[in-house]
Amino acid sequence: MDLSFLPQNILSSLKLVNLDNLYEIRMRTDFAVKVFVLDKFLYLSKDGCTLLKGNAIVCTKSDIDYVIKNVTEYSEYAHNNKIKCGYLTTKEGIRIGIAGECVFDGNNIVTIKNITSLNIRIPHNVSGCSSYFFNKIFKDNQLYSTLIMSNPFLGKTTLLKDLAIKLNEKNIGNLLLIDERGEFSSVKGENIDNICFCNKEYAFSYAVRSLAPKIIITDELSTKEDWKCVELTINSGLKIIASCHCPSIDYLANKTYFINGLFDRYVVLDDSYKMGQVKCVYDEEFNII
Amino acid sequence: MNLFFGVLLLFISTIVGYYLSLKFVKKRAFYENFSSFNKTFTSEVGFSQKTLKDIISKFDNDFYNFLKNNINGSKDFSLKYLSEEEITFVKTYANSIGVGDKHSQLEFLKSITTEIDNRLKVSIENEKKYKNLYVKLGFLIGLICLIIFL
Repeated sequence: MDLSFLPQNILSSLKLVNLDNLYEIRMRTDFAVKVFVLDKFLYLSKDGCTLLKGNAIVCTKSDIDYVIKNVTEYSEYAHNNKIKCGYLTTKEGIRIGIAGECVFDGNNIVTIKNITSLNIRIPHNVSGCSSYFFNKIFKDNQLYSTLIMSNPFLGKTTLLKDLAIKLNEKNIGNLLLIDERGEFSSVKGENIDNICFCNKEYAFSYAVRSLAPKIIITDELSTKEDWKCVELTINSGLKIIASCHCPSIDYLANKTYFINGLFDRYVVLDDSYKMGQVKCVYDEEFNII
Repeated sequence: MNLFFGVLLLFISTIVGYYLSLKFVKKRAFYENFSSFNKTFTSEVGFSQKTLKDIISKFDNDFYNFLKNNINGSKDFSLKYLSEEEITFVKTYANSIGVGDKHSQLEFLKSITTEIDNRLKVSIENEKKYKNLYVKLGFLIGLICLIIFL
């Protein structure tokens, strides 16, 4: 994995950390650099991970600027649409959440400047992580529209990527990835088309007509408009696998934008900080299967 | 023998004059590339959204190499034909491009265009004024030496 956008001192320390177990790097100006390894936060010192705050590497403003400059290739203007949405994505699909001063022009956000915090989320391709429930959403060569849900940071995107690879191998038709944040860039295949850095409304409207997909996979349904797009697409006979921030099936059912009967399967992930661990799979009537 | 040394001196002093005049040529070329980059970059920021690295990677001259070195953080690169004030100006420019959103970047580029064009104009005038003068002065000094030797 290419982490060369990080400052040299952090990069050298990370060489002493097993990247397979690393999920997140937190950089906050004037505070110790933290890493989420396996299932807990640790500090990053020059000797690798540590529990001792005193030994930790302290992040400076120039470290943050260094990362921003490298990820944007010294061209923030070319990445401003993403910056406005609070994130950046590296070429390898590493998503970096940013916090700083939001600049508004009336009600419209112009940019985020003076960035002070970064949340670098290290993606993992966990081959076979969706095997546990794959036969519950794919039976007799037929796919059920499925919603994967959990709190943030529990492996929804990792599962979606694995599902995309599995469905590509099944060779059951064109598979379209609608990748708003460039996180599926590592997923490639002979049946896969990938639309990235595009809002769902636009991507759904043009791709359904021009790319003729049979299955659409997309991350994070969050707004009413997102759900409307999904409804229109499913009603036109396509299958969708999507994810959504939601801790439980009861919580989902009470959401105002939730459209009952849209999805055939609901997969709820375990919130025990074990990435991609499935807690329960429900059918369209919310019965456990 | 005196004639030989005299002619040799005339030749050498003319060459020295020519080399001294080259700094005006290099400076003009530098500002030409600077001005041209500023225009290209303004257009890229406004429309095609190519990154700075992509734009500068295609060129190889003093100005673009200065930008490349600035990005890489290298301090080895020097431009002897520019004054301290000029180097500070170019460095400030190099550190200000690529920072901020499209709107603020365009504002900055537009605000500095006149200054760059003025500097280009002055460098063209200086080249016209001094390039031939240095060669002529070199030749003249050599000629005086030749007369003295003879």
